[in-house]
Amino acid sequence: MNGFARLVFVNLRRHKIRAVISIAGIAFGVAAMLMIVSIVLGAIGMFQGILAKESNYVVFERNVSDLFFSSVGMDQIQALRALPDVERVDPMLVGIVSSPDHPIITCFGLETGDPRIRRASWLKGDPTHFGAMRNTVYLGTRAAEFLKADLGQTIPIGKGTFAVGGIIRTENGFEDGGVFMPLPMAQTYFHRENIVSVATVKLRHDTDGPAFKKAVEASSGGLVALQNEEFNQSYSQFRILHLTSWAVGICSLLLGGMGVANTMLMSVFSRIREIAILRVCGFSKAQIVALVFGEAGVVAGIGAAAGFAIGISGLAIMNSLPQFQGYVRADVRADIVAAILFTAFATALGGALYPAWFAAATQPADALRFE
Amino acid sequence: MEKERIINSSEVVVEAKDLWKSFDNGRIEVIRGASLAVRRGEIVALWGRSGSGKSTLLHLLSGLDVPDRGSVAILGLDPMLEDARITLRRNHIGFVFQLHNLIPDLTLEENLRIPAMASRTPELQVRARIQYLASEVGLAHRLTHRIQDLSGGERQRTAICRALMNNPKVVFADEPTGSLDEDTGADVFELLCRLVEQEHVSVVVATHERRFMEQCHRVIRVSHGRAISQLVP
Repeated sequence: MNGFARLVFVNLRRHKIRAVISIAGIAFGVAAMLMIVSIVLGAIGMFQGILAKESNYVVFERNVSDLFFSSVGMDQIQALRALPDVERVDPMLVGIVSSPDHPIITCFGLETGDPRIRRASWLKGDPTHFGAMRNTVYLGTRAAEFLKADLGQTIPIGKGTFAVGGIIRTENGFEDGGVFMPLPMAQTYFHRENIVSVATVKLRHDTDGPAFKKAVEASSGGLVALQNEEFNQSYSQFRILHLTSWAVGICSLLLGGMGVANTMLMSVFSRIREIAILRVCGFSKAQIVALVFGEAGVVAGIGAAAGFAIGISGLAIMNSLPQFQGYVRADVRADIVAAILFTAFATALGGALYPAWFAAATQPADALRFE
Repeated sequence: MEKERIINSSEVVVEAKDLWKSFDNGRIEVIRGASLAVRRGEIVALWGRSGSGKSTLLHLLSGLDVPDRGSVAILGLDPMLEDARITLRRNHIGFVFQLHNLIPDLTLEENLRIPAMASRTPELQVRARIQYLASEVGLAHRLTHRIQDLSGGERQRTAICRALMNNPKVVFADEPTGSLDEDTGADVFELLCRLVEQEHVSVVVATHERRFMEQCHRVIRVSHGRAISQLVP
C-alpha cells in the first residue's frame, strides 16, 4: 500500500467505531436505494410486460392519468383493425375486483386468442374453453393460491359468484395474481359495455409506425398511440413511481452522507495538529483535501459494497418468501448500480466538503502554537 | 576555523527585516522590529527566556506564521506566498518541534516517508535516504516499530530524521529538547548539530537552555520581541 493510501486507512482504523458507523450509514442507504428502485422498476417492468406481449404499440385514451380510467370504444378497435398497417389488435379491459379477504385483485378482460391467454401455461383447465363458458373466470396461479380456489370450484368475486374454468401461469407476477375474464363478460361486470381500457397493437412492419400513429391521432376519438418504449417513458404512473423510488433512495443515502460528514468533521478536528504537520512537511492544500476525500471515498466504497451485498441478499430473501413470490421481481440493472454508486460517492464526498475545506484552511502556526 | 569560515560566509539563506507581530488584535505585541540573517551552514540559536518571543520569531522566519510588518526571505523566496511556501517546505526547509509531532499509528519508516510523499521523491531515493538517516541516528533496527513503541529520545531523533528527509538547506527547530530529560536532550542536540554539519544545513534553533550555546555558531538573544544582541559563543 502506498504512503498516501496508508495515511487514509490509518486514520479510519484509528477511529474504528466511528468509521464503521459511517460505513453502515452508506451501506444501509445503498441497500435501501437498491431494493426500492429495483422492486419498483421490476414492478414497472412487469406491468410493461402485460402491455407489450406480441405488440409494439399501445393505444389508449389521450390525457388519462391512469390506464384504468382510459376508455376505448369497440368501434375504435374495429377501426384500428381496419388500418392497412395493422397485423393484430388485442383489446384489454382492466379493472379491480375484490373477494372477501382480498379487497384488491386486478381483473383482465381479454378476447379469446389474446396472446396473454394463448402464451400462458395452463396448469388446469382447457385454453380452448376460454370465453366459451358462461359465468366462468380463470385465475393466475397466485390468485388461485390466495383465493384457495381450484378448477371447477365457485368463488365469490365482488357481488357475483363465478366458476373457476382454469388456472394459468404467465411470465408475469402481476398477471399471476390476477383474475381473467372473457372480454364481454368483463364489460358487463364493470358496466363498461363496448368499452375497453387499452389496445395493444402489432404492426406488420416496424417502419409503419409513424403512419400508424398519425392515423390514430387523426381519428376523432381522442386516442393516442405510443410505441412501447415511448409509453414506458411518458406514462405518468411509471414516472411517479420511478421518481418516488429514487427520491426515497436518495433521502436514505443523504442520511448516510450526513454520517460521513460527521465522521470526517470529527476526524479532522481530532487531528488538526497532524494535518498541520503534514502541511509543514510540504503537503499542499490539494493533498490535504485529497486525504480527507480519500477517507470519505473509502467509507463510500466499503459502504457501497456492503450495501449492495445487503440489498441483493434482501431482494433474494424477498423473492424466496411465498408472500412476495411473483410480485417482487427485482430488476438490478447495470445503470441502476452505476447511479447508486454515483449517488453514494457524491453523498459521501459532499459530506466531506466542509471537513476538507476546514482541513485545507488550517494554519500550521495556529495548530502548533500551543504545544 | 570552520566556525569562522561559516560566519564569514556571504551566502545568506534566511533574511528577516524589521519583523513585527502581535496577537489579540494588536493588544499583545510579541515581536517588535526584529531583523537578522542566517548564513549557509550556520547554526544559530534564538535564545531567550520563556515568553521572550523566540518561538514566534522562529515561526515568522520559517514562514509558519505571517508577520504584521516586515519581510522574510528564505533562499530568496517569500514564504508568505503559498507556492513559494510549498516549494520551500518540500525541498529546502525542515522542522523539528518541542513535541515530536509524529503520527503515532504509523511506523518510524512511514513517518519518515511523509516529506517524501509531499515532494513525490522516487521510491529508491526515499529508501536509501531512510536507511542512511536511521543508521545515522541509531534507529535502523527500529524502522518497522510504531511511534508509540519508541522512547522520547527515539521519537525526537525520528523527528530530526524527518526534518532532514528531503535534504533541506535550513532546519528550524523550536525547543527540540524541551520535552526531554537533560541527558537525552543533550544527546539529541548533539545529534542535530552533527547531522546538520554533516549535511551542510543551516539551523535556526529556538531554545532557552544556555548549555547548548557552545554548539552553535552564533546566538541571538531575543528579549521583549527584539533580536537584541548577537553573541559568538
